[in-house]
Amino acid sequence: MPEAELHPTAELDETVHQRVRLGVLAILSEADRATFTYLRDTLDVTDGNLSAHVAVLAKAGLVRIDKGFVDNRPRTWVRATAKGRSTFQAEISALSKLVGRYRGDVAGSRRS
Amino acid sequence: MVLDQSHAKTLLTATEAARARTRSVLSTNWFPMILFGLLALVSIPVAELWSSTAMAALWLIGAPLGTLATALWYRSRTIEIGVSVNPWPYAVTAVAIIVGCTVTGIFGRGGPISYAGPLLVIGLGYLVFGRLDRNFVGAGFGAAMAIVAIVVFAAKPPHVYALTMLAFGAGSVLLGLWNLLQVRRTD
Repeated sequence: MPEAELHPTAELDETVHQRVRLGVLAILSEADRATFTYLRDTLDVTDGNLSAHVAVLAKAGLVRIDKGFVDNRPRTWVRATAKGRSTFQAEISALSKLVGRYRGDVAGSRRS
Repeated sequence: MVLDQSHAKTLLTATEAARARTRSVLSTNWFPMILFGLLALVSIPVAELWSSTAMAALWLIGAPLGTLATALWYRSRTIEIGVSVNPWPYAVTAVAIIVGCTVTGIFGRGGPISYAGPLLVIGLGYLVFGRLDRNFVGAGFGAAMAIVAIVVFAAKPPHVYALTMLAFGAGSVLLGLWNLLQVRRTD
């Protein structure tokens, strides 16, 4: 008997499946590292909001936070871990499947 | 998990927008493109009106200094915008270009390899940079330069150095100005 196909939502990750967290990982999938300020401005969120989401990602081992100084000013850098990168790719794949399934449903209902 | 497909689509769109913006910020390369393009253009009258030794000296001093200036420019840009790529693949490619051009230039002994070799190395280097940046125009320019190097190696036209450096220099400056225009438009 063929194995029952799981609905794409079953493949979504609870930790990553959130606009800001997914956005952080999306940016870090393109870059080696990004500052807290860059993430905040690009994702258009407040400092507190971003802090909370980055903390969740760091706790899950998906990002690493490095604090340092540039010209005597404190600067926080965020990097994706290997686990973070693979989790992001899996999430994007699951979301794409879900959207593809939606498109298939719409096309099917239009034909019938 | 409660999720409808339109929410998934919205998430995917927002994610792709964040990725595209970061990719665009990171593929800014107008400074090295214009700098090395101008260096190539300046080297033409030096080679044609002065001597090939003076032209070689210009490159031996200009290429490492230009690479250092480029590294400093990327460093200050990283501090300013707050996002960066892994610099090592770029540094390794830049060093490989300098070494490759020096070796083919010196060991070509004034023959076809001494002008086609450096251009081939530069073309392949730009191809790698374009691949790293996912900049298809930059990679295409690198591939075109590599093809030009093979063509001039086979055809050996007169004033070959001036012709190849005009193609490389003008192309590099134009691509740099195009990139600068795009950066100004998105800033």
